[in-house]
Amino acid sequence: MSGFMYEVKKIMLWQRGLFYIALVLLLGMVWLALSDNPVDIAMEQYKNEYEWYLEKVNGYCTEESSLYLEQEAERIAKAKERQNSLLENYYDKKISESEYKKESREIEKVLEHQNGFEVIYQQYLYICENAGNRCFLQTNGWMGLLGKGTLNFILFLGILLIVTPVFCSEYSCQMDTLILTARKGRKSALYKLLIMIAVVLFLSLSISLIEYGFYRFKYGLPDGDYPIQSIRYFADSSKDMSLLEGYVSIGLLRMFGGVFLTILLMFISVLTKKYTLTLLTGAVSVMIPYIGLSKTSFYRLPLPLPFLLGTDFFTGDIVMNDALTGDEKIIFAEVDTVTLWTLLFVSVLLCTLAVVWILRRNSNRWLIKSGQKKCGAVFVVMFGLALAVTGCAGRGKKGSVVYNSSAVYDCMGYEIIRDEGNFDYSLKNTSTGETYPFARSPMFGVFSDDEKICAFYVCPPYLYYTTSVMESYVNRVGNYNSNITKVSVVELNLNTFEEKTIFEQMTNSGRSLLGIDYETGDKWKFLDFHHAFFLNDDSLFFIGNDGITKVNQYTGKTVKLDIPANGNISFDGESIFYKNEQGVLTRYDVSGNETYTYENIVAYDFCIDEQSIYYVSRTDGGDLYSCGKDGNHKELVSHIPAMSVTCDTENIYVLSKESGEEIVLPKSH
Amino acid sequence: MTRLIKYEFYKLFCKRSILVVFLLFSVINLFKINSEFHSYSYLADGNDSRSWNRVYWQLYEDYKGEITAEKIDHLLSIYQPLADATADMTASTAKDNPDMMTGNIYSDRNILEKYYVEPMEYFYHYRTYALQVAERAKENAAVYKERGQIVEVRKNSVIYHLYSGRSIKDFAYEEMYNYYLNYDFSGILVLFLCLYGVISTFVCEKETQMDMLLLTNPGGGKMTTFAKIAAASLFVISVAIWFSVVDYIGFVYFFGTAEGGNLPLYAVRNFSTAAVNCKLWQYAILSAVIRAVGVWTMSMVFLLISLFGHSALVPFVADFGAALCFIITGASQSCFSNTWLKIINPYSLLANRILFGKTEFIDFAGYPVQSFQAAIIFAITAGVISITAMMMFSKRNSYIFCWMVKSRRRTRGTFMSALSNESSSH
Repeated sequence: MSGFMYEVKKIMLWQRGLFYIALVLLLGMVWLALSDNPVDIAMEQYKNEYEWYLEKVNGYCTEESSLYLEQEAERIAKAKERQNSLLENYYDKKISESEYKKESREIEKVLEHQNGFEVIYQQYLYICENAGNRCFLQTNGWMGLLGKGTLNFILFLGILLIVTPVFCSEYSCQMDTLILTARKGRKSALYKLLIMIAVVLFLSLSISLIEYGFYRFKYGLPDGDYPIQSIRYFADSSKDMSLLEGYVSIGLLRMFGGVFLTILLMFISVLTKKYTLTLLTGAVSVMIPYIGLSKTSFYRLPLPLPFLLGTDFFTGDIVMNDALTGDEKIIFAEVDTVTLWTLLFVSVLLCTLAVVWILRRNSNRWLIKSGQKKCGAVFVVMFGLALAVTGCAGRGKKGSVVYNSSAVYDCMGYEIIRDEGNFDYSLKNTSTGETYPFARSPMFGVFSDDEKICAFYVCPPYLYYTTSVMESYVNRVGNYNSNITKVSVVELNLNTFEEKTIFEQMTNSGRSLLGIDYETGDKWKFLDFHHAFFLNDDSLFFIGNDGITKVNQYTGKTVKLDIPANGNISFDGESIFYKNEQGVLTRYDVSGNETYTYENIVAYDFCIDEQSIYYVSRTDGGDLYSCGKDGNHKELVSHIPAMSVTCDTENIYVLSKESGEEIVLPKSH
Repeated sequence: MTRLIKYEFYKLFCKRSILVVFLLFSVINLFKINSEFHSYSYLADGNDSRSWNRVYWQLYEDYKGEITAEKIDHLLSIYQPLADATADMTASTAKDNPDMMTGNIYSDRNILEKYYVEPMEYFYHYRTYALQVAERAKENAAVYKERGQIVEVRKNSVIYHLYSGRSIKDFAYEEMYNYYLNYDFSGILVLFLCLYGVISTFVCEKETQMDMLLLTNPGGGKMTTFAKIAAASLFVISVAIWFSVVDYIGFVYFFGTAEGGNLPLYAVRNFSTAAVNCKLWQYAILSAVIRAVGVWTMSMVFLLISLFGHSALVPFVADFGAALCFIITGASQSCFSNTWLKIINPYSLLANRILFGKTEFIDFAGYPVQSFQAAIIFAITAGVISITAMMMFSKRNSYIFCWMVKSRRRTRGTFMSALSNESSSH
């Protein structure tokens, strides 16, 4: 067996190199699968509808595609308007059923892909900012692949584990001197270097390919030849390259970053001959610039870190306005091509010097002529590093209860009231008249106007409410991601007034951790716009302006339900009741994901209680009817034409169409 | 024992490499503090006569000290006309207006708004806010008493006592303390340095296989283990305190002032619901002590992990990974309301504003315990458990073992010879 194979065997088997490589790849895959969220959640959810439009405009934004989108926007707006008037006419019996059906089919055809249109229109607005280098394409895959400028900690720790023992294990048992006396002593160091470089190249390449495969499989990576500026992360980049070229370049830079870190670790291990110092230097050389320096600075330093990150070599300037003075402030200054090549050249030079020095240090004793030369080489490498560091720096479980979103609550002897002045919610004891604020913490909302209650839901003996809290280090100009908005769901026991937070999420997509900015996607953005919610044992349902989002309390999985949120929404613990686009009452079973339409109930408004559905019939001139949950046993409740209906345990409340007054009807009626 | 601890301390920590890293990190820390000042403070714009820095300190003489109606009126008499003139954004943008303090009307309005009007407004209203909290806590206590919720009654009683006397009487410069209290970078440096320092505590002798020899020594075994733990504790506490001192001196030096030390902690806006009533200078000391406790706990966990390693490699990477997990989870969970997660993570003690910035409680055996108290108790308990585990898992002194075996053999030998003597006499 040759010396090279002996070294391979030693590193891979005795020093557990193979085990660590497998561990890094495995953990890398698991982490990738667990941590990934689509950056544009709507594009993923309405993929088919979006692709329908994308087929028509794919590529650069031409005059035709621009005209098409503008016309389509107008067509959709008109169709929506027409749909409303058509429904009114039909229910008012101004048009026949066949006419209605014929026209509504045409309208439905126009609106068939409207959710996808909203996504593509947002993309169109982005492209219009600079149509010369931005294209229409599926961006989620590319954003996931290229738009994450964070360090791969698993790879970093893996390199530390694999590379450090290569020389240190021999120094720790003083075998190095023995090797130096051997005939092939010098070759041993060379083999080690080659093996380690090959291992790190393999690891980096594998991770790049795994990421490529993952995003290609999950979202698709189409149109790799489109300019890199087509995705928002690289919006203002001045680099003229395609997405695929960007991926290859970033991958190559990351591979070089891995090699750079490897050579640095080997250099330090030969210099210090100690595990601890080598590991510390490796960890510090990456972590301290990462946390301590601005991105603009460390992307101009010949260190492994910028290459390990790679992404931001191709992003453009990020400029923000100072909140106080309005002055422009450069958050990140683009790394121009000359700087990138210079940095690469200096780094390659440093690596070469380090390799030469490592080989000279590990030369057989009889080959070394002068001891001063090796000191000189160390000095050159150290000086080079110091010079580069200074010189290259840049400048710059609940019981079920019936819920009606439109109903006024009276729960367990408390009336829920909202202060019109400061929008604070409070509970009023109906017998004593005492009021208690919802939020039991005496500090809530006192020191900050950004702490507020958004919505509530009653499920006796519990009252649930959602709070929105915004915190920011207001004085920190430059640290723009220090703003935090969090939404919490709090459970208040109305018997004991004990409260407990049962769900909490930050809604910001741009976040900052120890000064490192990162993106998480817009998964929780909908929480900022919710105005009502309800829940069952394992899910929360947030009602926003554009629909209902179901959130699993335990897994955090979100699903946008295809339910319009423009009327009353009711929930009886198992099913959601709502009016569909045509005003027909519909029931959605939350556990079975099945939809049932009450064909014979077309309602202006409705509400439900435990047994019955009360609705203001649109087809019967606004009369109030009741029926069972299955739609049978229809009974007339009131002849008075009504606009809306709500109910509580004892009464039905109807808003009269003619007088505009509220009429109270006892349920026994 | 003291000598043993002293020897271990010299052996483990008085090394050139540690000293170099120590000095290097101190210098890096000072650079970072300097960059914090230049990045975040608007007063870092030089010493020109029209710079914000100069203008601020000129005005400061007029407004510092007790907040009085005269001072407020005087300030508003300067600020209000500027605010009115710039409200519709049509005022001149000239930068050399001789009537303006900074040469520009917008700039004048901004400096007054940010550095005088807003802080003074906050200081002035704080008493009312705190009274409101105290009143609500009192009402809450009554409500909970009716419902038999004793813990909540006690909790609200603590809040009442904490907030009822709060007010900010004086106006002073608090910007330096704001950034000082939000500065986390040195905590990371301390962790790195302590990790480097303690990792070789048990490993260095294993690497050279001196651990076997050590066990034959009368002072070896458990006694040496204890001395090592004591020396490591001394080292990490000294490092934590040193960096806290460097932080404070650095901030005072680069911001050019230590003004504001006598303001209460809640004068800094991020601490408006602070868990303790103390002055800012007192909190600086408290923070240094709490940070030392956090660093000590983490170091004891590092030491425990390193006890099982034969070389520094795996323990270092494991400790580094554990530290990263603590830091990342601690920093990302800091804004959430799950108090237990903050309490069990020693990183909360390092960046202790997570605990002291909010008045939060946990229920412990029917008594409300403030989150910082629980975190300190938890950290000390975790540290003591780690030490106990290290003492249990460390090897027993072989010298005693050899001696015992020898003496047993001797006894057996004496017994055998006595037996043979007896049989021969028979």
